[in-house]
Amino acid sequence: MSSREKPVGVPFRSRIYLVSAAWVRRRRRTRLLLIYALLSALALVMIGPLLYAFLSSFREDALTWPPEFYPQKFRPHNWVGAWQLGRQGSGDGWLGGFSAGRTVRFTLVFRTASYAANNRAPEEAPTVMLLPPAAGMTTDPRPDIQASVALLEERSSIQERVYEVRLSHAGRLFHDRVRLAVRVPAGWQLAGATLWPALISPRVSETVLTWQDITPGVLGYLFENYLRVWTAYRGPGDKPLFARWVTNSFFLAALRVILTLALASLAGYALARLRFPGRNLLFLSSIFTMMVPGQVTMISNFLLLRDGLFGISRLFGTETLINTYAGVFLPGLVGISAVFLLKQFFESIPRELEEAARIDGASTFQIYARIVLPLSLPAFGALAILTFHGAWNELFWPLIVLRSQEMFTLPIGLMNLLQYYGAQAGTNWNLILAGAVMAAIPVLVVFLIFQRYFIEGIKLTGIRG
Amino acid sequence: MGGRLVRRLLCSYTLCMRTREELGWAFLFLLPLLWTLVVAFGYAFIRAVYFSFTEYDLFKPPSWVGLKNFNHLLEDSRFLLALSHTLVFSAIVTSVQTILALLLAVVVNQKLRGITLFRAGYYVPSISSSVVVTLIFAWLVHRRGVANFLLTALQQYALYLLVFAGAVALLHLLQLLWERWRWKAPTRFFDPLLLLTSLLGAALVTIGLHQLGVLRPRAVPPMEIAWVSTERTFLGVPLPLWSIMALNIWTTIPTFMVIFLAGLQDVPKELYEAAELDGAGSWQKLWYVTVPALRPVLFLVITLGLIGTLQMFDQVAVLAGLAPLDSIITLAYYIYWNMFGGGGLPRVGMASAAALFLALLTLAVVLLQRRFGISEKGVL
Repeated sequence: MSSREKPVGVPFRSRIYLVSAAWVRRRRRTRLLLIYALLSALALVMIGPLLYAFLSSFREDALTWPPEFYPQKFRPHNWVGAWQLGRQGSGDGWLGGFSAGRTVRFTLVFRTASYAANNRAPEEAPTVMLLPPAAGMTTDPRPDIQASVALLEERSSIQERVYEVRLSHAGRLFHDRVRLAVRVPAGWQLAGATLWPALISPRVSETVLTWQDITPGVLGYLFENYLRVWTAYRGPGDKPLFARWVTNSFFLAALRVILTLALASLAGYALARLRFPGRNLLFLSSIFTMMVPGQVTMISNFLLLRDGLFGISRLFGTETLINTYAGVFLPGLVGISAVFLLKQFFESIPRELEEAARIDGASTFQIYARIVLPLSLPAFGALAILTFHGAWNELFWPLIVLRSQEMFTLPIGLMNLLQYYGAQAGTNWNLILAGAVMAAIPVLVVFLIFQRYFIEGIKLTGIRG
Repeated sequence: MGGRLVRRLLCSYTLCMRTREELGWAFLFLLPLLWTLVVAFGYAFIRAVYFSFTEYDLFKPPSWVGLKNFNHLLEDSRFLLALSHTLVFSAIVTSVQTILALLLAVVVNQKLRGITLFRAGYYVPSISSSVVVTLIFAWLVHRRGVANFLLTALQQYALYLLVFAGAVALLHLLQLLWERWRWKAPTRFFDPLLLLTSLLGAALVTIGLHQLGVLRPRAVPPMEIAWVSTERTFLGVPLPLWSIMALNIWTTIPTFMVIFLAGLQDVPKELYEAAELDGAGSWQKLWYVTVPALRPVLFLVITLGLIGTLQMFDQVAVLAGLAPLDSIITLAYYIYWNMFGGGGLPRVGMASAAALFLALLTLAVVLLQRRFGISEKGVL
């Protein structure tokens, strides 16, 4: 085939060389291969860390050395075990729990190879211990649960022993979480388990296996960190804080979008189309505001809110606007860059449409509402997405205004979470990561759906400053 | 009399009604913007200037002290530290991220199948909130984190990398000699086919040397630097600040990549074709065609980068709980710290003076850009 193809001229060092078409084609293909390899390597650098963080947010310990890429959490046999134990404990294979009158059995396989060398009494067996439902607690080690261990089988040839642990619920309460520890003589290796323990801590005299929840159910097992962050981090009044922060963030971001669309479009339309004295001055001073850092105006605006807007807030019964959502919105009521973005868009709408309506006797507001608005829906969509993104991620101003935990937005909440869990011994990064992933998901979803608008918005606001 | 008549004639009834009506609507439409501009900005700016000449702790009324705050500022070692951090941070981050963003934009500015997927993927660090990314970053560079693990591995296998790189260079040169002088083929220096064979060959050589036992991983103790919570410095700059630089570069590159990409798509293709006819290689095309054509965009990106880095706050605020304050403090955080985090009464005067200083720095950058930059397409 290739011999019948015409040779191709290739410019090289100010001469044209004749080469076979196959020569060129081979090089083009290899170039493509190398480019894709480069693109993939770059992708690894840019989003690899985020993906690894996402995976680690599921694990029991996010700081393992060396990094684990296939931890027990991701192994399907543990999912099966979690399902079975959930079914046994409460009949619910998804979320698990331990109901009254039920019995849970699970097996543990130990390799006792170094057992003889340790020279211990052969009848030494694992012991089961119930732990209090949360790490810091000292009371309530689930008194109504009875635990026992039985040797099922001894495979002497390979020095393995199979034990069955049996838990029976004799009380009346439903336990959503049963923490458990099994102690075995030092030197015993865990070779198999219905559900792999969260923690294996070898000590001098014994090895302790710990389960954070022995009847988790599949979802309870996989999303353990997420459920813990969502429900276990509680504030005053014992209400879970994280759910509250998510609600706050959604509420504030939605309100910000509505306000921006309504107010910035009015101002943008006025700047684009209406004639009034001082138009240029207004335009220039708006540009000037964008150059001044937020820290400069922060000081006065904070005082303004503290004093309730010259005391006006007293009319509404509040002494101060600090720690209120009104305080988050009031100073930056209209985003200047949003005004510019819409002004630019309105200027691109043909003027003739509006003139025609004007001749028909429409008022300025009617023209804005009936003609300009319907034409601007695409720009509104882009602006809505950009505004949502900005509001969802905003830290500086809410951090200054919002003071009590239940008023926080997600970014401040995450900082709070870091202070709380980060202060404890370094094992709680899994929870912090789970919180971070949950905070990132809404914006990621919006980005995936409306990718084009994001890019357009960056170009517009970027070029606009 | 005559003047009024002329005006009457020129200004038809409807037009005059129209301007009056428009004026009212304009005022109504602009009311929220005016509120923001006049109260939340103008008044705030004037008050910041006023506070900078006073001593004020939010409880007692402010008392006029003249230039004392500014003098204090220049004597305050923490302010000078914050200032030097900010300047170093700004210079390094802006230059590195501009170059890398440009290179990345050039790489993704190709018509390939699935390229939009890659672009979207690269963009992810920029859309995640600064708090989220900072938390993840702090975890990555934890004392027992992945970054330290990779750095340890790098130390262990440094010799492997050297051998690999050397083998690539050697194989490539040999192949080039063979192709150009033996076959007289028009093979460019970075010929893809040759490059691929050199890479594969070098990989084989390295693996072979490992199998033979010539190459052995070096025994090094695991690296255990707590990157964000240490007082150690490198080149006089604290390690936590270097970490924040790396973080900031990583998250800002995608934004600027998009801006560069928009600019790149406006560069006429004829320029590249002409350069190719003149025998320009990839690097020459980048340097002699792309960069000059992108000059306005380049100026814009540098300005945006400088302003953004001068006012960098979020990352420092998040890490402030983990790191020693003097290792990460920047101007923006110094202002916040004086107002809210000082331990003791707020120093509003000092905060205001420092804020004005920051505003001045920003303004200087903008003015420089307007002086030297080419304003096109409504660039500020």
